Amino acid sequence: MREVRSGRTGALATLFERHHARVYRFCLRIVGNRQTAEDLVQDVFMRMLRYRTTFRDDVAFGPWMFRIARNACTDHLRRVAREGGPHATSATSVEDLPSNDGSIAEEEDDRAELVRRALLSLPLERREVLVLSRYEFKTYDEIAHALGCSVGAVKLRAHRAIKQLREAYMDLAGEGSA
Amino acid sequence: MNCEDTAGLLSDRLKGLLAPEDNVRLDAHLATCSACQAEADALTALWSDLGSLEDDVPHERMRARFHAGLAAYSERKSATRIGAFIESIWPRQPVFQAGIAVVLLVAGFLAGQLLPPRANPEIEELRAEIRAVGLVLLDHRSAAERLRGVEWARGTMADARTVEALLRTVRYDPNLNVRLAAIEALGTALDSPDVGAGLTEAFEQQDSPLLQVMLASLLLDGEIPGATEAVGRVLERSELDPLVRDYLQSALEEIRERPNQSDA
Repeated sequence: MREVRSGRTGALATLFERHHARVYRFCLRIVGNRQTAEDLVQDVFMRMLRYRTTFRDDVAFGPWMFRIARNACTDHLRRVAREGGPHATSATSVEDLPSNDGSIAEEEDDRAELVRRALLSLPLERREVLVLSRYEFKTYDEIAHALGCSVGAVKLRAHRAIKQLREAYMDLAGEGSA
Repeated sequence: MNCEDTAGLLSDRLKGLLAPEDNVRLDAHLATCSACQAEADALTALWSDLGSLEDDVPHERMRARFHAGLAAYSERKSATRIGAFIESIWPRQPVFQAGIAVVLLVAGFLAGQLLPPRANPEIEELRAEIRAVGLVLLDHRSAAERLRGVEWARGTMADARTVEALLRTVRYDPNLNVRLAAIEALGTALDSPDVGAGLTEAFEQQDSPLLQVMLASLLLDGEIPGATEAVGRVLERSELDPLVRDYLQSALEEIRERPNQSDA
């Protein structure tokens, strides 16, 4: 990334090869749609070029990259919410979510599908901390860098997120068995 | 440890960040609290389920799309390489940015003051057209228009073609007033050797007593080289007006009586 920051934009191709799958999966878990996630990956790497001078040597690349990815997802979800689309920043009920939009659900087993839908039902703030916590980073410090908040806030959000995920999962499981 | 304390510890355990001593304390509490144990089991199972979600594989088209976007960006960047260079050396501190702005402002002002104005081809062309119009006025059939031409010429005495046109007017213009106006105009540029020599030559061609007196006065007062000799040659003319002859003779005597500056 230092090379990209110094003007060698071609070096971004190397970063893309290394990290685009991670960014894609993060975006997919946040927005729940493959096509949108692909669009967001493109957006994220172009943002990395635009904001390359904000990369600092004292911060690891991963949190910096996911902060950009998180902002791109947030911007997208807010835009969709303003336009009245289905992927709001804070889905209030699972019925609002795309349960069978041809993107993920069909080929998954029931339990995985319930977990995925429960995850998408969480407010964005909790969804993102849970995704980063479960899939991307081992330490709260890295998550705090990625989200731009304190470690204490990350711990609190993560705990509330997993509890809310369980409640959402139980609700969905109850509806399924009813 | 009470049930409230387990919440944070459970999250840390899921992340694998729980310290060994806290792990022991948490297990001790869970062994005595069935509600917390059930909560812990449920969260652990959910955490495990989250981890087992199948990873989606990004489509190959993303790579092609990225490289196309990167190429487009590089093209734009190479088109603005100077801008990128400035960006690379531009300081990030606002106080330095302000300092550079002030320095550039002062340097620009000084450069504007010191450097000669850059010739604008269009303005030069326009000036040439105006000059041509003014010179045409000096050759106009109407004496009034020729007088306007002389007035215009006063503002362009630095131009050799204007001086040449005025000298021609002094020599050949049929109207006395036009010639007088031309002599007055040229009198403002006597420092120029061409003007002095031209007026001296014109003086010897003049037949008008008024212009002879006026030109002799101008040339002798201006101490134009060759003026006294020219006056002497005019005095040799037999047809010279007596009043003019008296004036020229007295003017020459006055010059001869002047103290020699080199002797002073």
